Amino acid sequence: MTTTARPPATSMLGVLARQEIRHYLVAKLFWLGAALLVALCVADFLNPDATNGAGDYSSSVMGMVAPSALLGVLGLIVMASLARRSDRAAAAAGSVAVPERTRTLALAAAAVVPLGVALLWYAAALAQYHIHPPAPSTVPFGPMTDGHVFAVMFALGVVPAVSGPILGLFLARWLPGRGVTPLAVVLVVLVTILMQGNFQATWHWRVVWPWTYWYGPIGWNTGTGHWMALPGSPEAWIAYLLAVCALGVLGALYHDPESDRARLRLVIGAAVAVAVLALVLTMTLGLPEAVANPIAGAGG
Amino acid sequence: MTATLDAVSKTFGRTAALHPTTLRLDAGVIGLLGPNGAGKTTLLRILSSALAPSTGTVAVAGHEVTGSQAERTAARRRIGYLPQEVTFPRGMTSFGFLDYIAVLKEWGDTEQRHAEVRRVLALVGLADRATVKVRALSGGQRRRLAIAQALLGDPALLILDEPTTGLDPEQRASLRGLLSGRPGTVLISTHQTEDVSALCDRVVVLDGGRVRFDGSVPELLASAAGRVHQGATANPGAVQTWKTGTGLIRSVGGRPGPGASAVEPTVEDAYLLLRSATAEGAAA
Repeated sequence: MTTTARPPATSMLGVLARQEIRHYLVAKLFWLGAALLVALCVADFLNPDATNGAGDYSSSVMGMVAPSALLGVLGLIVMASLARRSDRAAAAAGSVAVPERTRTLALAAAAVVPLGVALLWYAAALAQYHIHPPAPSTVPFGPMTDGHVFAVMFALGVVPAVSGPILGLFLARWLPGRGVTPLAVVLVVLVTILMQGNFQATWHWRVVWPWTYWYGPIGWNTGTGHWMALPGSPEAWIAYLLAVCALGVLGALYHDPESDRARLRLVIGAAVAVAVLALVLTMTLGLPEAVANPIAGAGG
Repeated sequence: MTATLDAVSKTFGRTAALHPTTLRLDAGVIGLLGPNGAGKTTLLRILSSALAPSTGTVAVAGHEVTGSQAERTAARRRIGYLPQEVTFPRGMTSFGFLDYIAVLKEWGDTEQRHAEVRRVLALVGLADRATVKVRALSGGQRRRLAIAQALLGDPALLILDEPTTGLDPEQRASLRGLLSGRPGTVLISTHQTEDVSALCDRVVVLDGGRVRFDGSVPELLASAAGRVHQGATANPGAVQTWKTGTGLIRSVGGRPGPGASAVEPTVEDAYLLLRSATAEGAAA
């Protein structure tokens, strides 16, 4: 018998998601990253050509590393921390009506916080692109369109704001040890450095890794003053990245022993198929080969 | 009737933590006694649905904990559970912690939820600590906070695993007052036999994963009547002896020595005798 009136048990996901969004919003690390990002954006607006010291390109087309690190990498840590906190609270209650999968979805929903900031950054970057167009020696050039550049900016600057936290959620579900998060951050950064397209041998399949450069003063060409655009389709790559994000959430949901795992396996299989298809399209569509901008920059 | 366990057992690998056990838990306060490793926590976790049994069925308020997901969820809505060890989430205030758990217990309406959180904070005497971070609370206050989460929603079945650990005598008395006055079923696992004698309508003694006694406190005390003595010397063959503050030696069990007089047994005496009989039975 329950003597205290309890409201009807409907749509707890929305209530819990709002709680997790609030928790994300008050996370110090999130504020640190967001504040640094805003400071960098303001600095870029005030001095758009100073980013590489060579004075030959607008920072808007190369500044994606800032949101990916400040929202994505820090988001990984924030989300892992929130997931652990949620798990501890649930364990403290021992037995609650809201299942782990609902908590997982609510935590995933909290990624709208860094996503919102990343979208603001994207809007600022697009404004910057129009107010201070990139130098002719940079991008776009040749077969590249503005859309190509915008897709790259979105994939490298906005998507990590979601994929970083989702990776944190996935890791917290399957590897809850506290040392896992910093280790994951180090590994992500190390592999990203290796996969950013500096080596010609990786140019075609580097897109497997969810953060890699698509253009810039890349690899052996660095120092010649000619920017390179690497092969592939950034538009299809966005679909691949989003499929990987979905897989991260599904993988985190799969951890709940009370979830309908048979059904989840089907959905995960479908998401893998979409990811593979998008990856193949990424490699086969867009630029077939790497191309160099014929105009040399001031830095060369 | 609030909860039933029907032939419930649990094995971990090749170790049987709980042998097939059948219990019916009606309204009232029920004490669960037993030594460490007796299977008490295993039984409580199964009853709370935190752990699936190896065999048997569990039902709470007519809903099968061991049934479908919907049935288990329906059962969980009627359960409040205090685990033996609670690791609190970092960075939360007392209020924030309870508020989060209230959401996990499906309190969707913010106003009602906050009112409920304030109610349970007041019940455990932490109303003035609502905005304090959990890490800043004392051990006793944290235990009371953990009890508060179990009280959210005034559940029909309240399962408390060693609730008085870390509480001072005043807080323990306060908790007794709180539990004795509430409706529904309260199942308390404890090592504090005085809590059982002061609070419980019924006692279940678990040992080696089996129920060794299931009855009222007077029945448990009656099982020890005439078997506890005080005298100048210890009873030969006594289960336990100790020198009391009066200088006399109290003997639980054994053959009374010269001049020894029978005294009123306590729940602890009865428990010790029961344990001794169980150990002798196992040895035989």
